Amino acid sequence: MSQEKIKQIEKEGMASLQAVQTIADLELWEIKYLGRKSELNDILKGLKGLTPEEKKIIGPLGNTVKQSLFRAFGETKEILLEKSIDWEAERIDVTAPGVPSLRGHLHPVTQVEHEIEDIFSEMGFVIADGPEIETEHYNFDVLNIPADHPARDMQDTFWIASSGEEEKYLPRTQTSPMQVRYMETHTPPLHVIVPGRVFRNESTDASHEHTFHQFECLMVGDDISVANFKWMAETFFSRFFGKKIDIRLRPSFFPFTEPSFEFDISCTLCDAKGCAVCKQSGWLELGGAGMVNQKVFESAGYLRGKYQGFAWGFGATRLAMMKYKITDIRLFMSGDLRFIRQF
Amino acid sequence: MKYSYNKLVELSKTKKTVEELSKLFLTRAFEVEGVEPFKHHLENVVIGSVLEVELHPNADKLKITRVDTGDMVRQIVCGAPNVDKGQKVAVALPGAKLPGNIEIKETEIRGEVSQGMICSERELGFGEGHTGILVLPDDAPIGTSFAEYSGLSDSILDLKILPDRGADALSYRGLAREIGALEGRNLSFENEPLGEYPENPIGIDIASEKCSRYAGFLFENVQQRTSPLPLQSFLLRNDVRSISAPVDITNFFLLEYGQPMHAFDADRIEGKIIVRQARAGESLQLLSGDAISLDVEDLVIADEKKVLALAGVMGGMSSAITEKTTRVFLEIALFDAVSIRRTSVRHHLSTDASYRYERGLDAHTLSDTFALSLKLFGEYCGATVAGFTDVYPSPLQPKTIVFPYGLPEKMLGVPVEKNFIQSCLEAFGCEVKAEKESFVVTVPTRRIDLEDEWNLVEEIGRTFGYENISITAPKFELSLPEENQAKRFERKMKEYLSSAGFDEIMTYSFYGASDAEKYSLDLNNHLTLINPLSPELSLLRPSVLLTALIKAKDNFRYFDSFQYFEYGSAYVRDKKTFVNEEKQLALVVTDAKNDNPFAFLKGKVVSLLDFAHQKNVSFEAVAQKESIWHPSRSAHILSNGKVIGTIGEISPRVLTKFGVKRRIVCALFPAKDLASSFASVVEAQPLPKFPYAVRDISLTFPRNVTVGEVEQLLRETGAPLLKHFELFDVYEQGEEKSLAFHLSFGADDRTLSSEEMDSVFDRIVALANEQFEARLKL
Repeated sequence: MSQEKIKQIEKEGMASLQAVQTIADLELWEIKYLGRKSELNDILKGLKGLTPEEKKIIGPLGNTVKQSLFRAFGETKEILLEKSIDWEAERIDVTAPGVPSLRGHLHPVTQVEHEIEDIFSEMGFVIADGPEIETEHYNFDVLNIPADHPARDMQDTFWIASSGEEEKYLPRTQTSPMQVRYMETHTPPLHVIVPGRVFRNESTDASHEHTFHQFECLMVGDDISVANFKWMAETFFSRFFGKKIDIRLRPSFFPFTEPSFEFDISCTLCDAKGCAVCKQSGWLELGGAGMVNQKVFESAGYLRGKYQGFAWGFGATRLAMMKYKITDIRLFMSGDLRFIRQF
Repeated sequence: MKYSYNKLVELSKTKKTVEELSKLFLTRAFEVEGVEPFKHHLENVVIGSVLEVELHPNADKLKITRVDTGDMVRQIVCGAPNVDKGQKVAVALPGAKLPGNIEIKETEIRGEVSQGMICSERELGFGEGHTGILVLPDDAPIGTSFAEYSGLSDSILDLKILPDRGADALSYRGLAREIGALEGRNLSFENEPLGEYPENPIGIDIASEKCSRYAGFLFENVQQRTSPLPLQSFLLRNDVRSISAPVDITNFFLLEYGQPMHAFDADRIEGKIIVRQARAGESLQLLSGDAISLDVEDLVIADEKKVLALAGVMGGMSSAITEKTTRVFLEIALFDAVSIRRTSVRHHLSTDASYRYERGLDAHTLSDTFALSLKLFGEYCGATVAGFTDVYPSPLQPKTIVFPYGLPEKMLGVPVEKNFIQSCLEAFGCEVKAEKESFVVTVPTRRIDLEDEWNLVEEIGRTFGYENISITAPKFELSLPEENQAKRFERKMKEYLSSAGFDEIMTYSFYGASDAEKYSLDLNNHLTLINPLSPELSLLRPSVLLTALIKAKDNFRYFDSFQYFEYGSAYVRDKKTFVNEEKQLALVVTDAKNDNPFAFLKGKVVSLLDFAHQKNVSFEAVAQKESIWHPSRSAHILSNGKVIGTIGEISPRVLTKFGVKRRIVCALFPAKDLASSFASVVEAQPLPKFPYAVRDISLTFPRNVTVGEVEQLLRETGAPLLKHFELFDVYEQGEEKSLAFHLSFGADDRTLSSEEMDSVFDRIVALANEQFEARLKL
């Protein structure tokens, strides 16, 4: 009897569901066929009064019917919902502009500095920084650049007016003063980089700036060699430019290194084939380097001949110019947001 | 420095082309800044032989010549008085474009055809001789290009000689030795010994330790002739004007030996030559015509009555060689590098002589010039020697360096054979003696740059070729690099700010007094540059905001609204440490659509401080009349009661002076204050188990009551059940203002009853009334 009753409910339910046209009618249908007080629910609740044989038949049948009614209900609900929305009325113009949301731009030198710092950090280098206003002692004397030496001509220096102090102060002409400052408080092996702002007393034009950013790398140990420097430079620049870069060393002179080199990298534009940027030479001049002069080690309090290592420096500003193809160096310090917002 | 390729080949005997030589220098010695053919403008000038000379039928001073130029015999009209049959001459053919842009064409002069021009020295671009044509030696080959013949067909290498190589490489001989050494040959030049001569009748007295050697010839019967063609050609290729043989000879030694010399008119020397320090109050009229006041630190050449020359820098007018000079005192001396440099800097005088002296010179190269200078004065000027004195109190000893065999290999990181080391150093002119573990190397005195074993490593390295050193990864123990917290914080801040919509700018560390005055800042508190590029860049900024803010004005030309920051150093004069340098963060905001940009920036700052882990942030109005900040729109920013920065509009008094009419709001933080809590770690709180209930309250206050005071009342009175509050409306009318807040009530252990909330709410209303005469707005 119940068996038939259940089949009857299913048949009726399915039929009346076909006639439902609105969400409101569907809610009424749901109460009648699937609600807590529905006929089907009453039958399932009454199961415990039946014989085991009856339970075996009525239980599964009731549940199957309940599930199929529920499934049909879900499908109908979806269809009705779909019908109830006027999609054309909903339409928006997706090509109209979005609500403006400000995005700031980091200065290109900052971006390049961060990249450089990341590469060296991965190799275990310490990032150090020192004062921008230096003493003559750290900027020149301890770097084996004595007063009245023509080597001082290599770096046109601004000097700060003093009021009778014995020490003379200057906006540092290089990041190298940090070499001795760092070595005074650390013992090799050491590997450290120093990014920072430096100052040269020279007139500005598209390729000269009195204020720019430099980068210094110092690596000292028992047997750090020129061959090691070549590896370090090649590895760094290959990573920075994202392709294989060759290094060329040329003899040079810096009072704080011996031997000293200028170093060139293979032209990043033409891959050393020769182009306008590298003046057909295949090489780009990038910076200075050398094996730390033993006199500098002595200034830092190390024994002469006990350690050896290299120091090298180059312009972070210059790298930013190369990377972003910036042709006027004066833009960096211009504060012009039309420039900054490009990066 | 520019060097003639022909001369380098002549001295070094190298077989290299100019390109090969240039590459050798670039990779092994000195930077090559350029290689160019020498521009002589003597194309189509050939050597001719004068076959016949006749008078011009229509002109008194002109002659008609027939000249064999190899290809043909030409008729040339010539005005020179000295032209004669049988002479070898330089002929400019039609088509030639001589120095000074003189074009030669076939032409008719007074009815006679002229197929070229016979040239004088001046027309050929060297010398001053123009009274007649240049007559060449009889063996000059007819038809040959004159440029080839005179050596002017040459290439010029522009080399950047390194500052430590002044003693040897600022000369042709030194560079030729360098080429030889790099090609593995030890090039030595034979110098004739000087014969015996009587003491120079003009005595020499060295009265300063700044002069280590002073030699002087006295020449008589000196004739002021023009120099022979090869010397003129050599000087021309070195950009040196030929003046007269005596002067040209001194320039020849400067170029070829790197040894400056000075020729005095001996008749103008009174008594003996004295090398001494200048005395206070002395002055000197230089060869250039300028008169200078001498400093007691200047080294001078004097006689017994007066100062004659600024030693090692420039001669004086009173003893200069003139066309009438017949007796010449020739100075060949060595002066102290530092002293010469100081004098050169002090008087803003840089000469070819001072440039070399201040880099240091070699006492032995000096004496290499003796015999040849005597010979050249004889040959070129017909001079006879009346005496020679060489004062050299303490002769220089060559240095020896102990050079361990293994050092080059250890420094370069590549195997270097002992034999290579030895032959390399010998090629540079060193004497090399092998001992048990090291070489003992005796360095020639001209290489003053070779002071220690590492200098020798450089000579080995560059000769070996840096491109031959294979790259090798360094080996070192893994260690955790020391953390640079300030740098890390700076990076975090920059990245945060850019995400929050701020652009980053960088500005100069310098600004000008006129800007400082616009900010009403005391110039005496600034650090100043002695030698600024311009007055606008003469002061060091005591605050990053000062230079960052100025950039707003430029940007107004292109933008109505912007927000940017600079994170940089500021420098304040400090009594104890001279300079107090600190990193600062400056924020600059302007918004055309918003007349209260303060609130906009304050919102950004509160988020920034939250990111920097600053707790209990509050704002207190500041009212400094003399400040750059707006007196009624600025505030100190506090964290836990301590001031960590300032926020506010810039005072319109300041902005007007910069010509800015918009409102600009800024914030400034010393980085170390901003970073003070960054290392602290957030402690997580459990989420509330019981829901909070929200009620609104709206209170009307007298106008002068601040939101800060009301919030403090809410905090104190509402605790502990009032969990949060949020101002959502402000309405001002007359002398009153209404503030409306959302209040969130809750407890950690239960859901609050409405009676509990009512009691807190009522207490707030009562206290607000008591403290501020506030009333509940219904």
